[in-house]
Amino acid sequence: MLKLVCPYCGIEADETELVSGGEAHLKREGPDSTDDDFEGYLFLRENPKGVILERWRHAMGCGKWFHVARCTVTQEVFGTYPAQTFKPPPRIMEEIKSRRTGQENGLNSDKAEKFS
Amino acid sequence: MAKSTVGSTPKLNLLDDIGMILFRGDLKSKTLQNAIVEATGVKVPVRGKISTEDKTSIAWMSPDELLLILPLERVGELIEDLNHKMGKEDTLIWDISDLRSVFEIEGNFIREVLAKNTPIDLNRDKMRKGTFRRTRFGQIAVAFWFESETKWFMICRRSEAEYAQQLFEVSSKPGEIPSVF
Repeated sequence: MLKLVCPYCGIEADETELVSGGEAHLKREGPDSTDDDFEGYLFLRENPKGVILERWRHAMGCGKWFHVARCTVTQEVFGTYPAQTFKPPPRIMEEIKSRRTGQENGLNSDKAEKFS
Repeated sequence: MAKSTVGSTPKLNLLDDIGMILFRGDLKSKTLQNAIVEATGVKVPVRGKISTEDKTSIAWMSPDELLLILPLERVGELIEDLNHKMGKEDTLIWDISDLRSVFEIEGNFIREVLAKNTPIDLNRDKMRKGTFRRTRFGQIAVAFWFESETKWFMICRRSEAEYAQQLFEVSSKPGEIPSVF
């Protein structure tokens, strides 16, 4: 069972109280984008074996969206952070770096960098 | 040895004279804090808590939302008062008395019955007096708080109240409550 701490409520919420929102830090492609970029934004998702940054919603609680850094192999959670950001905060990056050396590069947030 | 729970079934009652006001805004704002204290006499609760004064309670719902729980007949005048006190500040003050239902749960072994249907930690040191916990009860979203060990409150959407009532009744059948907490 996955348990995540909602950064807004500060409580440990069970997986069944949450709704998964898929990959975090997507760069939104608007009407001016190319068809390829738009297809990527709409359909193509990372599916890493290792660290992933995801969106979750505290649906049975405050109803807010937040971000989570976790490992898809071990279900380890590196931390949660509020959604009003384009990149994971330094404390999350430190946590990932200390437990998964090398994997902090090429995270799905890197794609969003030019947007920030 | 575990205590026998036979003959101590908690009862769930729908409270029909309870009014609720949804209050959205910047909870850190001085105007908001003052307006609420002046209008209700209850202080604004901190994260995850509920504060009660006499018959009025204020619950922390989310970082930008409060729920005011009070006698139904006072809702109208309080909304007017709050709107006036908030002035031009960006807020949403809305009468949701018909949108949600409040239940009163009375009796022994309430923690046991709730624990059957919710994923939260209901241990006495985690779920304490003054805690307002939004979670899941069976398949529906609810919130719990309590006044004393034998008097709890549960709030849910009015359309789901029947489900809540039936689920509670099934879970609290005599002889089917374990003694845990």
